[in-house]
Amino acid sequence: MKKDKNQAESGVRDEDLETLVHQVLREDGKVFPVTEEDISNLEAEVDPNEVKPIDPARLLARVRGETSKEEHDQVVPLFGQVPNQVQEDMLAMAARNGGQITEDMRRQMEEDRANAEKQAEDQKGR
Amino acid sequence: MSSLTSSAVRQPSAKVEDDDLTLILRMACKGSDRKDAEDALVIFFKRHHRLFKAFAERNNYRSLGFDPEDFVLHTFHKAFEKAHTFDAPTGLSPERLLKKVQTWLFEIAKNEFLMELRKGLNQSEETMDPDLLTPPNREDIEECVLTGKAAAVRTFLDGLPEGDRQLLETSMNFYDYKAKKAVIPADILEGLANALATTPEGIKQRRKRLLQRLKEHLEKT
Repeated sequence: MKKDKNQAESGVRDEDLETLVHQVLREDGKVFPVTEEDISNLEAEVDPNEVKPIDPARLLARVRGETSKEEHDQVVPLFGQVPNQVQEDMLAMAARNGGQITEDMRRQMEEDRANAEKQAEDQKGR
Repeated sequence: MSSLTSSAVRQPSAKVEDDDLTLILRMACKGSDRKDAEDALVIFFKRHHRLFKAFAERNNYRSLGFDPEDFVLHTFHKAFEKAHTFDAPTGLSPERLLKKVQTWLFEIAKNEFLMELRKGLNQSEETMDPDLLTPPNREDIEECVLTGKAAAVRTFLDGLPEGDRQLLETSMNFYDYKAKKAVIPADILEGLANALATTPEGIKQRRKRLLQRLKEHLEKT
């Protein structure tokens, strides 16, 4: 049954307001369709052919409790966009558990690095 | 009487020409023939999934933190698990059967949506509130047409910031036909508040203000 409230009263009752919003959203396919009519409304509003299809392999992988290659590839490497130097600094910080490097430690590290570089140079020279 | 037990005649393997009922029956028999059930699922998925993706993209559930493709995959995964629950009268025309299947899938999709909202609360069980899932009776749908106002509502909604529009649209998924307003269960309200980075009370107040603004907008037009 349809009621034309507009002709009966100039104001809008709160009750009618929510009903009206819901009705508009149903007609526009913007709330979950619950009736066959809602689905027809939705179909009139969208064109599924314009939607990029999803690879069914992803669904099969889920159903089988696996991770599909596509989903695996979608995982963004944590350090993917970070410059190497920053990445090294972050890894080093993580390695020392966020703590500060003492002067002794730094001296030892620089010594180790110098030795490693010298060793690498020597190997190249041979 | 369930169509699943009466009308579908099983052929050796799932085929693209199979109707939905046959495919759902094959999925329901996954315990006895897993490969056939999965083949049927792929055909069924290819046939239907784009409407669901279009729906999810259109309603921008991404702004609530939902990935449309993930939402669709969840829905069809659940449909595969629950294939045995599908029921429809026998002798339906292909068009009516299609609508029955779509309605069933959207019930599942809605439930998945509710579960996603609950995830932030570590409550991933299926909803126990049948009113949220059961289609309303036809007599409950008393259309209240305020002539000429629908266009004004659309104009108002289109002019809202994304977050506000999303809030109103999402809340209307909980519209109660008897109460004639959205009745959002407390746990869903909390999940929605988490998704929108606010509090349940914040959601209520924001929604109330939006409806008040809409009311003023309609009274002006």
